[in-house]
Amino acid sequence: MEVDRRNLWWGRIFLGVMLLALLGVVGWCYYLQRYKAEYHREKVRVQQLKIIPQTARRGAIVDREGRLLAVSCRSSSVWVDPSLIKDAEGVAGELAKLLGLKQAELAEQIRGRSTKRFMWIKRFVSEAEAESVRGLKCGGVGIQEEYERQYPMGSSSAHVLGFTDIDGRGLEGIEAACEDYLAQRPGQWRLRSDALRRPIGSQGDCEDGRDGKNVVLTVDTVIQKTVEKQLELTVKKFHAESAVGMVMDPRSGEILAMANYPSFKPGQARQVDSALRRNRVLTDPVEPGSTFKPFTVASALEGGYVSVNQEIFCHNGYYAGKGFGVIREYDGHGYGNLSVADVIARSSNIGSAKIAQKMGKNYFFSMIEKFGFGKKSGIDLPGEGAGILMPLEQWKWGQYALTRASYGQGPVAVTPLQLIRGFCCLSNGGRLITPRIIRGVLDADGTVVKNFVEADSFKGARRVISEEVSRQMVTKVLKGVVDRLGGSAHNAYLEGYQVYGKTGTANIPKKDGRGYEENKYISSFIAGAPAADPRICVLVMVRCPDRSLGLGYTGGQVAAPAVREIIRDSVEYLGVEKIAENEAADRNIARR
Amino acid sequence: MLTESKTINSPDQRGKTAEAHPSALGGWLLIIISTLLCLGALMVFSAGAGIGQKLEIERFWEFSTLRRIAFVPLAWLVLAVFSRVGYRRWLVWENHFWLSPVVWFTALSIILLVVVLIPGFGHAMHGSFRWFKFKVGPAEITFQPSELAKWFVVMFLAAYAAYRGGKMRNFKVGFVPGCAVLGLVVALIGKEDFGTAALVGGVGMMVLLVGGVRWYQFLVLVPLIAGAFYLMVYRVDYRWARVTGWLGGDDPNAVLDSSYQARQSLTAIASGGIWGKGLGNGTMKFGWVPEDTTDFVFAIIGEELGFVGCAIVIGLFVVLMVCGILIVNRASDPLGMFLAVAITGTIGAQAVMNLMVVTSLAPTKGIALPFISAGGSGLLLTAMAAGVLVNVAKHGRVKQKKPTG
Repeated sequence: MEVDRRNLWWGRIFLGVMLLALLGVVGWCYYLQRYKAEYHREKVRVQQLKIIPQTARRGAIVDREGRLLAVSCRSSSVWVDPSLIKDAEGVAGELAKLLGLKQAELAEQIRGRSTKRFMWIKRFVSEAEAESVRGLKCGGVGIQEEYERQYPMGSSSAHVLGFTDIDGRGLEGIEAACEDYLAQRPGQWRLRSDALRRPIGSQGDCEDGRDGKNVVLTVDTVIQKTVEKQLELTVKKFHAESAVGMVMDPRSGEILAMANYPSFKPGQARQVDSALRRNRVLTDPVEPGSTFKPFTVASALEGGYVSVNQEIFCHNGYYAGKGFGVIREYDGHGYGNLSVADVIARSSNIGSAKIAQKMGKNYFFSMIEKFGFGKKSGIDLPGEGAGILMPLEQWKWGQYALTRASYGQGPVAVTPLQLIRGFCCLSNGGRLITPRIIRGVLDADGTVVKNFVEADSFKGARRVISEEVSRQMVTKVLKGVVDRLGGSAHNAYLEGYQVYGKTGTANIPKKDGRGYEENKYISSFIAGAPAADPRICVLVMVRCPDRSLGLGYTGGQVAAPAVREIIRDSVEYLGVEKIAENEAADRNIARR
Repeated sequence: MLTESKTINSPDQRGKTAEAHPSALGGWLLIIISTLLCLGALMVFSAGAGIGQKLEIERFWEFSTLRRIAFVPLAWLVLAVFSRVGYRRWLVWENHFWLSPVVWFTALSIILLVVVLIPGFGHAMHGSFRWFKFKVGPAEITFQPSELAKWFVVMFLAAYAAYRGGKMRNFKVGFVPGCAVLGLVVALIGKEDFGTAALVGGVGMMVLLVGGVRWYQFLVLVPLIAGAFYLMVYRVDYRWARVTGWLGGDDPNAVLDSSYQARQSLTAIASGGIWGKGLGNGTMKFGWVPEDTTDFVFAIIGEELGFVGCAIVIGLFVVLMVCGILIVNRASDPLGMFLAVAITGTIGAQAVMNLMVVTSLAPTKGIALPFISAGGSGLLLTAMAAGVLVNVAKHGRVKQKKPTG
């Protein structure tokens, strides 16, 4: 049996073609692996990259005694992967039922993002809600563990603390100022994964999250709560618009309390009107009115233009002259001769103006600047305003600006913070300190990272007036204001604590800058105690108490009682020694 | 020449002299195939790595990668046995052709191809009825009748052509019966597995042509195929949609799955670079390349061993095919020659189809890479066929120039 070998060519051709095809595949592989390797490696990298975020906790904010003011707590949030959800209505229905949301709205949102891979449903749900969502049998719904910022003290210290956005980044107050300290650094594990997104081995760069640091404030919540309570009572009693209050340690510049009323809850800050969130202590310049007079007198004493007991003729309530127009006392009073101390005790506009005239505008202006007005105090809180101090070149029209500035009108508008800072300067022996609200920073494990408390609390503080003038101001001038009998702030008298201070009842300028509003006042009282050795300075400023109630509207009537209560609670809490009135006088003499 | 042709007709006698002058080709083939088997076991084992997989050694039958390693000695045994037993002894009996084992096995495989389509007997994987599943003790064995049919139909055609000899050019004697058997098998396989059907059809036609069927006789099939196509594809809406989808992409879902597989496979190969990521260092095997131990194992070779690995594997196939061609040329009888063409052609075509699929040069179909891919029954059958090829080589002529002993 013979074979026709010619037919074998069919086989040879077939096998030859297969051989060529194999060689072609080799060539194709060479092309791919030589020239396309990088491109495809990148593709593999992207495809297999699995990022496991490592959460970390934002630092806490505590008061000077370590009480928690702001803290981040573990919480659960519900999210969905819209691209995996086929039945938007059904899923939305289930979730809406469990989480108390609106089904139609939710379904609409899910369908609107059907190509996206991630969408929040509800942030920070309760543990029970999270558990019920975990029990759901529909795909594409997930629970994310994250930290929620909480404020255990409610609305207390709200304006100091500020608040964060929903992801926990500080937006205002300490939360913003200390963002660098408080912010946690979330880590990332970048791993390769298999097709089911399970990580392969442990290769890849793994960076663990780092918790934020804790910030310790100078605020004392006990004093803060007292201030807040007094502000609320006062505003309610006098049907006032709002009030601010501060307590400061004149020796160190530490702020023990800083409050605004009405306040808000930082946890719900995002739903609150922004006007309510403004820390008016820092931002709003107001005409200080009579509370500014002590600075006029202190300047004159420092310059030697007057002495404490020097008599000033007060023109019986009507003082007019070329270049400064007409000056009257408030409420139509008229005084004859008043000592410099009495000018303050009775709060004489004319007396202040005449003292200012003795100094002249150049000297007075330089002293106002030295007291820190017209400039930011440099407090470690964001959003501070500089107040208003009209530049000296604009103090023209004869002595108009000079005389008006002497009793806190016209070219001067101050923030409450500047006012109390200046007052601390009068109290502490004449040094202008920088207000501080942050004591230090602690690590997550309690190690001190930063300590802002200086051993010498007056380090870097500028001397404005001498020790002597300071002592005179406190014990002779300002103490008279709180005199049980004749002082404008007899309401603030506290047995045993020698409160000293100055009232203020300022008119509110009209918006157009021409004249003042009728019957609208800012009633304030600024005080310190005890006069022998000032430990705290307190400011309460009440905006627009309702005069028609007949309860009074002046600083002495509205603000002084609140200040008294604050001082009483604070000095007792701080353990300040109570001493009898005459003994205090003796000590003063002895010290001198 | 005369003595030579005499010996051609008596291969059993010739076998003795071949032992004295063993053809080196058979030895080469054994070396190549052993290398491919070991490389395959290694790469299937590497590709089989997964996460969250607990390996219980006493239940190793459930792990295809371990099973694959167990099949290497088995395949080797099969290879050794069939390369030693003369194909005329067990495969084709010249004097009682229609009683030959090759005829029985062809008939058996046709029956099994029918049975596997009956629900209840066959087992569906990935939506097509291609498998039988047996329980053997604790192990579960899957068996694909199309593998059996693939090998026996091409060998049957080779044997038939050798049996009919010169009469093959006769339309009724050669073309009609050959095409009937081939067509039946291709149709039965093609119902569930287009790739294997195309492979069998192509190699089968080539064997018939080599066996003496005139090429123009195949023109008869053109209207037949056209008619069948019209009835079975064009008139059936969903199939026509699939065709247009494949051509133009109207139905993205139909294409998406297989093109994803192909893209991933291409990426795996290309990312290997020239030297590869190193044995076991690949990451695409963790679920990123589907079927990475079976049809797409070459993708893992490309990724882990790089171009060097690819070139070695393909080079081995090239050498294997060159050996096959030489065996065809030196075959001592028509049966051996036709068998060698059929077997070499099947191995070569299957390798080419698999490699082109894996490198995205051809659309995806389920074709394993011979000797490399995991899979028990297919591997053993391939080993058997390779054994026959080696046996043919042993009985081959010694080259004219070489002095005979």
